[in-house]
Amino acid sequence: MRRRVAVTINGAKHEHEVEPRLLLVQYIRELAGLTGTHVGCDTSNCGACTVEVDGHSVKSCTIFAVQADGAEITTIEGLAKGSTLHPLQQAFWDEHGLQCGFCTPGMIMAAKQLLERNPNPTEREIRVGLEGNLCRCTGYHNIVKAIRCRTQGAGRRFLTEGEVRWRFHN
Amino acid sequence: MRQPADELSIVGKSLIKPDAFSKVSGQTKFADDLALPRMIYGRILRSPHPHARILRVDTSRARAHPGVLAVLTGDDLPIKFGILPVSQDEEALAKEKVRYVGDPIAAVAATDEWIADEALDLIDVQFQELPPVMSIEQAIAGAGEPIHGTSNVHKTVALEFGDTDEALRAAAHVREDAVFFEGSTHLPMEQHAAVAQVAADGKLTLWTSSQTPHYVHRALGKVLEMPMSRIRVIATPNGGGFGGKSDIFAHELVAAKLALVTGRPVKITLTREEVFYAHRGRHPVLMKVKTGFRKDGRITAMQFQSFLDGGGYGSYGVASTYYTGALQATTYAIPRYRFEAVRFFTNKPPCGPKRGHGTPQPRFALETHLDKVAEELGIDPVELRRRNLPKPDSRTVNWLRITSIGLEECINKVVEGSGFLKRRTSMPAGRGLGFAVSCYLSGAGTAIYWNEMPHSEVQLKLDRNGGVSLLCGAIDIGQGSDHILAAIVAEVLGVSLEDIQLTTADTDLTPIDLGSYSSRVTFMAGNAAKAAAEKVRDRLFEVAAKALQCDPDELIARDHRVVRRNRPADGMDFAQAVQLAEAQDGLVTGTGSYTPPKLAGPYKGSGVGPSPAYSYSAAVVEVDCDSRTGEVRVPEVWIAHDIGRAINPMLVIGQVEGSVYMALGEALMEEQSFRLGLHKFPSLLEYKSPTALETPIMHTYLVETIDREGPFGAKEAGQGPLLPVIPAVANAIYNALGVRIDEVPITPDKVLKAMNDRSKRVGPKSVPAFDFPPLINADVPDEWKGK
Amino acid sequence: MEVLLPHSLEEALAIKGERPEATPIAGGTDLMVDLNFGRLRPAAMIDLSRVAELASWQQEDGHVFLGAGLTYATIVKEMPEFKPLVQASRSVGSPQIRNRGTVGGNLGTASPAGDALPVLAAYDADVVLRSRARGERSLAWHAFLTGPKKTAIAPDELIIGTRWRRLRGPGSFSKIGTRNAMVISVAGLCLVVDEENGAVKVALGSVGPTILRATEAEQQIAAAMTSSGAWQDSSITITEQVIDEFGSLVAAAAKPLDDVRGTAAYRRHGCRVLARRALIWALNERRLPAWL
Repeated sequence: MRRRVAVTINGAKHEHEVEPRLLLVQYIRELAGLTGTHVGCDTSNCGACTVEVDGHSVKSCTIFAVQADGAEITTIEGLAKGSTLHPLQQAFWDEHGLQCGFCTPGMIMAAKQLLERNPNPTEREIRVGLEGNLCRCTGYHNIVKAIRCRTQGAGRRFLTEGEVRWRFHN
Repeated sequence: MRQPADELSIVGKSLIKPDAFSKVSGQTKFADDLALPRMIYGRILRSPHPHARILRVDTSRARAHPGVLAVLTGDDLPIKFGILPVSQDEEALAKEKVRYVGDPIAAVAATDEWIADEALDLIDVQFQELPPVMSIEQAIAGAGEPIHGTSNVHKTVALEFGDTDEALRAAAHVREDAVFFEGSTHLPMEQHAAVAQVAADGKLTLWTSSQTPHYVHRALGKVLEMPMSRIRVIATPNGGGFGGKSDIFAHELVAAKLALVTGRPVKITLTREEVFYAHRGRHPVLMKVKTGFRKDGRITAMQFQSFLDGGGYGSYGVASTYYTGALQATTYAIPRYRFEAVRFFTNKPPCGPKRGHGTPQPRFALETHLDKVAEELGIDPVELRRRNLPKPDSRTVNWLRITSIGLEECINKVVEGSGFLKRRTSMPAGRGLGFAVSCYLSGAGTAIYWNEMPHSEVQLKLDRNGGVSLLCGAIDIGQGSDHILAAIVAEVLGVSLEDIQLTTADTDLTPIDLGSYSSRVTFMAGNAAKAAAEKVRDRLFEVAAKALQCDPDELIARDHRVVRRNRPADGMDFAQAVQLAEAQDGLVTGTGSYTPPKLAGPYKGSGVGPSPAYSYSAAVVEVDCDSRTGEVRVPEVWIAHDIGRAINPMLVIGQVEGSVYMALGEALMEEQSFRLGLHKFPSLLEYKSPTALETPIMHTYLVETIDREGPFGAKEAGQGPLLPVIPAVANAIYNALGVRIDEVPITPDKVLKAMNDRSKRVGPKSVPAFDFPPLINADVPDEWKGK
Repeated sequence: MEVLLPHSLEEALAIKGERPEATPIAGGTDLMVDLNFGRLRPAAMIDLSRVAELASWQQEDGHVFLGAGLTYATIVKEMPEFKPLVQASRSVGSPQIRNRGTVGGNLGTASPAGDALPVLAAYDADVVLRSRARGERSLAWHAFLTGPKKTAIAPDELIIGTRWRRLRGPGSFSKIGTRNAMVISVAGLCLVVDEENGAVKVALGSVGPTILRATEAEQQIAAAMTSSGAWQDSSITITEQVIDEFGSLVAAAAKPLDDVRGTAAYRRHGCRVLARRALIWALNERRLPAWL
């Protein structure tokens, strides 16, 4: 019994007939083809699937796609404007706030909401804001630093412009 | 040629990782992100029993299910495999017997994952359940049918270097301790995934989230009975590995076979629960350590016993077994050493290498043991370690060659940074400080399969416009190996990072690198990259020297120029030098290879432990304990690491901090434990790893010793810094509460139990009786004779 | 499986009346895990997240009504004066889960580890249920929570919300677990003081088949405060002995089991520690009445 779902993802309209059991994260990854939103567990713990639905950060594995019908969704791919990264993305890069990068999209989406609700968080408030996102590589230290440096408006730049254009694994 | 840091323009700088651009913007394609036209999905049926005979597998209902394209059973993949040549005991799909809950039995390919899951439910398997072996004690007792062959003993080791009994008899002070280290799992955030595709000409390509594409390549060839030239393995960026993706996994072989059978691309992504069963994580190890000391605290001899709970298959277990006894003497000058170990098969997911492979467990035993001895001898715990440090350029009693050693400086950094000596005796109630040190390998000195060939190879190709193509089999698992390879080549050639184009971990295109395990990539692939770069640089210098009418030795490559060292105006652009060389002899390429020196000692089993160089770490951990609930929080950690040379300090510090974090998880909460044959918690809901809230403030100090064997003097960073943290936590808890928790993880109930017990301790009383084989009396190196 | 998406309460009740087998879903915190693990295979689900009537709260006649669809994030933001409820809400999951998860969900799942439930039990809250055919009814929390993951809800009913008489007095919610975030607690406790009636109420989570009240402990401490005159004069000290005894009685009220998260002995001990702490906090707060 398929059902029609229409959502706006990163400003673009998507419409599909889907099985009701399809999770929003599967919709985003498989039907909208936006694979920056990751699946790291099936118990809504890891936070790798964090996206914004109508302005609230949610774990897209806890919603069926049909429940999001009509919603405005923002994923990690919607943050950069062309080749200009969102300041948080830039801060994660500058501060080495990632290693393998798998948790990173969810981490940045959680951080984005955190800063929207509290533009000047303390270190403790940042850590509380990230409690729903697991990282196994960094020890969180540089992630917290990236968010702090973002709030202080100070980035550290080591790269030349040419290096910014240089990407692996595209 | 050793270059001082001020002459280096890229090495030693905290440049940010270029691959991070695609990672922060969500563009990196992990294995599960790949989608190919006509792709179908595979799922694997796994055993619900820890130990059972398979009587019958009936797949007829599954085959008839609409949307199912293929069903495989053990008959379709009968050839056994395993990561080590001595342990070829695994089947992609079990035929006769299952050995742990989660052991693969059958597989389905269908047009979507839901249908595949439905089909799994339609496979009827008849089991004859066997009594499971769930612990070391049960494995020794040996009741019921052995898991493999005729005994549950998988591997034994019994080595002695000098007469330890005599040395212990003569010692002024002897202490013996028994401790237990529970298993834990890697928990990479990315679940393992593989995509297989067969081209029209029958050639197979497998994309897989693997740390060891070369070994996967070999296993595919063996199990599928195909020439390796007809198989291409591409490792995708690993969403975390920590050792958990360095084995050959059933889903990789099954995806390949399903693609061959159906002719369509097949993707298999493990669920989180399946990742817990794939495991290959930390071995649970029961240990006994007995050490003799002189009055002044110097060690006279040590006897070490390990009992490893290996799980259902061999995996890396033989190596793991040796590693539990390998690195005791690299941090302390031990004149006489006995090591006995046994690994048992049990009905649990197979254990293997997790960050620190086989060494965190003995390190925990050793460092808590030394703290207790220090107290008995009335010597400060830091001072006790200082009195036993080995010397640089020395050999341990078990024949491990030490080159550089920065341990003393590491100790000084953390002791001073934390104010350990002064604060330790005056901590407020519930607070405590603990100290420990450690050592780790910069790559294993021997390959997994015996051969004389290099462990790492790099190929460079220079473009006419000055660009450099770098090809290497190494895979970046988040540690930053791509950056390190590029940085080394850019440094040697005097070009920028953006001039380097990397192609990695693709068996069709890239030369061999054995894999991202044993902390070997920076050291070995780095050395190969440096050798390749020096080769092409020398060729450029030759042609440039002719044009500039000078000696090639006068030339340097810097800032995209090849210039005379003392007359920098006299030179040419890098690209111009490439063009000259190409015009003269054709395409400018260069290869570099690294083969570690032959370091194994003159005894059987000496192949595990030798490394071209060892890294060193020291840690001080502060704990804040709640004496009423037994809860332990870690507010602050000081960690120093002897990195040799930091090719990129920011990446090194990232590795160190990540190691500290992972160690705290193991020390305080993570455990892969079982009840009634079942994994207690195969989900992230119950398997708890630290969040941002539990991770402490970390003070990281890098110590540089510029090792003569490493590329630009570099040693490893990815594993060593984990090791001292776990015992330092235990030592800090003793400092805070006066209780000894000789069992990892140190959970609140154990702390509370120790506080309420007269012994003020929780831990094993002793190790079980076990008949180790007769000791092999190995010769000791000359420098230890008569000592 | 089907997912039904009512936009109003009336529509939701109509659906539930016609399809009593349909499972209501709000934030999905618990249900999605059960679905992913195949432990739950409903033919239909009713998504209540867009039913606006359920997502509000009001106060009238000294009572508080909390809609079943109010998210934990909203509780934290809008209901700071209900400290124990806010503390319990904060300890639920993580920010993303608090944006979706609801008290109605906690009630519907009826897990003894539901963080909001000890608070509702300590408040002596009623659970408000409604069906299209029979209208509304209220059940006391203990009549509603009949066992582990079992409730007294009828198949055609929906949980509308929960109602309790507003108490004047300090209170807190606290729990024990190996990790701060995203834990199913080993033991959870809510203690509230009812100044008007001279009562202390203590409810326990995660240490029995359902939420438990420590009635003996409640009576003991209330009596001790009466005999010492502490109800009238908050500066009067409650002796260590009384506090210890209170802790022991709370621990005795627990009915814990050994499971993967903790041993029964540790859980019982945890109740004692949480109880002592909560009582001391409350007594201190009575001296500095921040709740006024």
